[in-house]
Amino acid sequence: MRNSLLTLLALTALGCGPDEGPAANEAGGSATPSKETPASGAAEEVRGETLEASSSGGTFLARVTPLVDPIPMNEAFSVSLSLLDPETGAPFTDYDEVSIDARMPAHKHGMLRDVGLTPQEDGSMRADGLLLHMYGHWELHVDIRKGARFERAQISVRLQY
Amino acid sequence: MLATLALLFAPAVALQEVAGAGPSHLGAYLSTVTGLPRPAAVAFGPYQERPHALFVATSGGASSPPVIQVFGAESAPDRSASLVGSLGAGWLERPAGLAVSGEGEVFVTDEVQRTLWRFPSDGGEPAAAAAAQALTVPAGVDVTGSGEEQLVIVADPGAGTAKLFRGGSLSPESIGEGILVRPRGACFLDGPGAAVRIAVCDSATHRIHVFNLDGGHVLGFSQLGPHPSLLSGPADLEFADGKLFVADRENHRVQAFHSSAEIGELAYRFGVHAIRPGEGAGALHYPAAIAVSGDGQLLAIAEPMDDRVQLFGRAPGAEPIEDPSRAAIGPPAAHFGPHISSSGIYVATVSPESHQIQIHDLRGKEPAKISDVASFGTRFGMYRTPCATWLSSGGHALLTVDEGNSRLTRSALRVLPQEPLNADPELARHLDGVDLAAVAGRPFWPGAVAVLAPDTKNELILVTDRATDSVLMLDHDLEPIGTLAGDEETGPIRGVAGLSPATLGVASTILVVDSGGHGARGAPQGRVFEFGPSGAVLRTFGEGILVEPDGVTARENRIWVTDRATDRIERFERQPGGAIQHVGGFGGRGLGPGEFHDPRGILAMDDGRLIVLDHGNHRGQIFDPDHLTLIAGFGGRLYIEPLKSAATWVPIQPKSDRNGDQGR
Repeated sequence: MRNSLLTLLALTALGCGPDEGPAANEAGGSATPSKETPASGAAEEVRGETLEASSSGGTFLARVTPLVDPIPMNEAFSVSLSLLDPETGAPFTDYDEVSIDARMPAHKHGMLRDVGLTPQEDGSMRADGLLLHMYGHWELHVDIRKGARFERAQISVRLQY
Repeated sequence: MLATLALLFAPAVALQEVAGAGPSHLGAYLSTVTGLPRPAAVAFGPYQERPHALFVATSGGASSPPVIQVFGAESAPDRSASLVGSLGAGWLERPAGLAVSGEGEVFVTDEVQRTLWRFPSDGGEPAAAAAAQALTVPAGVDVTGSGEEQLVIVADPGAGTAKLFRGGSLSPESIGEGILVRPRGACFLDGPGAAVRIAVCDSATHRIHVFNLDGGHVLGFSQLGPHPSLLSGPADLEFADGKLFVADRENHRVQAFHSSAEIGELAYRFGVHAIRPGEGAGALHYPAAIAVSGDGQLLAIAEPMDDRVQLFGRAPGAEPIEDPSRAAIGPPAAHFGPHISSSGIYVATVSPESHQIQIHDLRGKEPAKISDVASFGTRFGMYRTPCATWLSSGGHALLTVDEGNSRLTRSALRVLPQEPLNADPELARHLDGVDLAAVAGRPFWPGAVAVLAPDTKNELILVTDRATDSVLMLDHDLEPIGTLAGDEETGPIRGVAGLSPATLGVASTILVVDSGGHGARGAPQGRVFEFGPSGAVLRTFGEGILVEPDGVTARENRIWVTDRATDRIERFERQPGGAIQHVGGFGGRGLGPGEFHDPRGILAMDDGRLIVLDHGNHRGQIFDPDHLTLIAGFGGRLYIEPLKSAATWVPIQPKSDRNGDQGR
């Protein structure tokens, strides 16, 4: 296993105040929503809809399950991140680094937070520290680096009023 | 060529009155030395009987070889300044950095020769001050001390480090490995006690780093941005007055940072972007080099794009007073360049100041911007210093080369050619990429990108590397498969610049611009290589025509090349048998139709239009090359007006001595 714990600095962004109502998330782009059974022994009782996306080169499948439902606006939350071999469905581990980040492409900014990835016993990773500080269209970027190569899986999330 | 001094003094800057009269700052405009052919570096130092002469290294042009001109620019009561000498003629090809020791030795880096010269103070012949291959692509230089205690620091953007030479040794120590990316300037500064430190500006990360002489990293400060204390492409720096003066190149200003306990804290700034073409008198345009006289009375700024050096002096007050009327004008329109690519109705250009890739829709007469791609950062999908782009597959696929992250990124564009023109801030989706330094296994300085046989199994992605003056070839899976370089007959590429696919019969070939140098006898040596798909050199062309070529484009049997030194577009045609002949050209410095200021990227569209990125004029020009007419211009309003006022454009006829078969 070469999964590494990454701490990533998101780009400085213009934020909005947490003065709006509840939020909902939805899949978009190339992501495919599906229901996922919580990992055995997981402490979280509430889980959001699992979102899936294949990486650009088809090397891996990224599966993201929010550990909260719905995703809150301007509050930190966690997700379970699994990388899978698209052929076998087994955990995908053939990479040197992995990271997850969230950005608002229309606004050219990301989060104001670091995201930490912690390997879990079942082969998934827990990502802590995500925070979407505006309503609207966000993209979750799951990037791997293998040697000199980078490859991305991208999942759309929309925070709504 | 003699430079002329335009004495355009700022009002009531009395140097002698400032001394001892309370706080003062160094940033009051004094005068301008004009007519310098692309000054690349400046320094102050002793010359003959003058203790603080001004040295200016010029890159030269078609008829003026590189040289170091010396001016008597001391802050004399009459403030007179005049050309008092020169050196380096016949030795230099493209000077990049300049420093003068307390004894009058002149150190100058040459980025084409990849060396450091030391000219003795007695006017004798120079000697190499660096061992062969000690420097990759040297830039700014500084010197302190003498004899065994002499220290020389050279910024080496090609290696991504600074090089410290001690006591006349030709073998340097590397400073900043793993921290610096594209260091352009370096200087010594006073540290705590009697310690000497090194400050380096990095044009790719937009930061200043301070090191101890043992290479230990003390700190780094600033980042990309337009606001006070932020930097954009810092090109040079100088320590004086207890401050670090930084040529904040892409913000078109100088910023002075404290260097004592509050190191990195902004003391003051001066200079505003020139709005009107050629505007000076304190307005700056891409300041590339900076120097302060030993007595702290004069500050010189070199602006190669405007062929001038501006001089600033001391004035009362802790900081300059900003002109509120000027501040209200706002920033000028962005420059275009250095690269352009198109596929069908879409055009991608690099915006060097916003550090983004701009996508334009060309369905109308003038390009309409529909998206800016990417934002600043180091993560995959972000750019730090994008420098080249390639658009293919009908506008659906975008390649971007990022100098700051040394990375090639492949993106998908959600273009909708069947839909009406529409802006889309979410146009791009980043797919994958490759770390070019990691894949090459060495320092890599990317510059241009092109694709041969796109969307086929033989797709070939080409990226230039200024560090080795070669072209890296990658396959569709971004795996390296070879390198393009000169052969024994042609000699090496000496300044790799633009790239373009071309055709030879039914075969595809690759054109690679060699911006060259001036050669041992001062003769310009720009040329273009043509490689076959196997990597073999087929021919070179353009010798004797091209001075500092940059961009190249080809369509059918025609080839166009931009020349930064002559502000011209040269046209070549392939002859039966494959040889390439110069058949004409047009251009010259100016604002009118068909005139240019530092033309860079060039693109021959499939529909016949020819687009030239007129970088220094903040605009692009679109031509119908078949009928020698200007179709349209786009860019900054002040720079477009001269195009709109002209109904037709009559090109400058090529000189008769520029004809002839240039194929080898």
